[in-house]
Amino acid sequence: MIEFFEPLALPFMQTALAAAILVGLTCSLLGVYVVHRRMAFIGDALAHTTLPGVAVAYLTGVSLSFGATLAGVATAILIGWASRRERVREDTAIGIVFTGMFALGVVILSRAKTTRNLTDILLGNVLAVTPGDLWMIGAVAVIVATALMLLHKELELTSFDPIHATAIGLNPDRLRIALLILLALTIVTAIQVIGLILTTALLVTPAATASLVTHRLSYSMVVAAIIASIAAVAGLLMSYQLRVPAGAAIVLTTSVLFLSTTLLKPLFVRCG
Amino acid sequence: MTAFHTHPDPLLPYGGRRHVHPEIFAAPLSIENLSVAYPRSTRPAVRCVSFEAGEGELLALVGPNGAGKSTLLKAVAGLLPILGGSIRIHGVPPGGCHHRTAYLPQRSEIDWRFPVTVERLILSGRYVHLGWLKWPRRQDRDTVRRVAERLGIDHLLHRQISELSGGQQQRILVARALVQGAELLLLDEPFNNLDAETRNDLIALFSELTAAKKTLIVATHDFDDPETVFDRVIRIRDGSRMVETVLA
Repeated sequence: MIEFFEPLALPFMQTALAAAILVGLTCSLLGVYVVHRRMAFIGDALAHTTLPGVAVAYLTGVSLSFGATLAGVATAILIGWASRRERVREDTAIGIVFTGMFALGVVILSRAKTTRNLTDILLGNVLAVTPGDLWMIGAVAVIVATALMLLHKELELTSFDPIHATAIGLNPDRLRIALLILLALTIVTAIQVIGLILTTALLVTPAATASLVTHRLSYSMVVAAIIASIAAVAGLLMSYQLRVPAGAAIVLTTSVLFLSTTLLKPLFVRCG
Repeated sequence: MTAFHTHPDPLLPYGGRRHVHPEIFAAPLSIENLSVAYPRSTRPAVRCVSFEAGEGELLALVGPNGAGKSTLLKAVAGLLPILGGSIRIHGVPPGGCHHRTAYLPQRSEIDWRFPVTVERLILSGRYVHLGWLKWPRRQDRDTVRRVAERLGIDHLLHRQISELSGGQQQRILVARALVQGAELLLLDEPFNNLDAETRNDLIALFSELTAAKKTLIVATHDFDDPETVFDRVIRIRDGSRMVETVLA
């Protein structure tokens, strides 16, 4: 049994583990809003639209995270702004923007004559996380956690009763854009760990599992964070022992936890 | 004259709106020649409506769906811009006395599946007095408990809001308005989808509130003879005021 945990003594595994846990925590905290405000599709779209940013950064030699952050935040603001206007239905607008941006990213990357980096972006490569990346991941985790704490009552209120929020002087559209920007930052760090395609899973699955056992926003965040941390450790170890991609192993762990919670739920009483 | 509650002003008020103190002898609500249109619409949904509501009055805005009742209430709550005319709440334009005004939306406009408890929803009535970066304190929670006990809903405080009946939802919205310390309550179709018994309970509650000097403006189309229930009835059709009847 101890042998199973042995890889954790390796320095690169420790960096990877720290990255996976931090990303898991950030994604699951924000994921509670993503699930309950029905923003899963936007999350997925944001992940895809970071590709051209990453591609341009790759070709020009700028930091990949910087390119992705720029593209993600720009899209977050664009989606937030466009969905206010109600000219096109929101999901249609997102569908158009994200497929277009993703295609643009693929075209730019194909000019770079390498497929290795594309695979890393699509599926993530947690073992390639450098201490520098880890600092960035940590900074985003702190920013997201602090923002969610300071804006907790406002984000909560605008989520279930935007009219009362507006009547007392809050602007639900601006809070939504703030949430989208936090989401963009989170997704950029998550891409390194579990890849662009599976990022939505880390946003949605732990939070959805939490919503099965608790009906309070703050408890949901705690439960989702615990689930994501377990998945990060278990997924990383499985990936090392079974030689499978870490991102996929982490996501599969969250899927299994969700499934078993669904099946076991009738046996337990809800905890609040 | 109302004995106004005093609330500490928030440190960082939402929307940068300072709380304006009411004019003591002004009517809770005074509307003159009011016209309101929805954003991006040129046709006014409310045209040249004037009326005044006195302290402790239970006033009904009656009319068919789409007559402009809801638009009128939203304009008073400061949710829609005014096209012409004026609104004064305790002598102050909307936005200044927003902490003394509570708009109770139609129940269908709230996401009842969102994971919050009844206590948390009622507590949101305190937010306008807290503003940014201030957490609800013990005294805010005490206010919630006191109001909930008064309205007979204290046993619901720890329930999730999805587990409530229509009548309970409406009581909780009233509780939030009271926790806010609102003097003027604007209720949008509170009787929608309620059975006769629940409706009567709610009317009894409204009478208690007006006895406590609260002013209630209720938009409704649920009564065949609203004159028997409300102090005053204003009928609205196609955005204009038709007739007004007063309970003898």
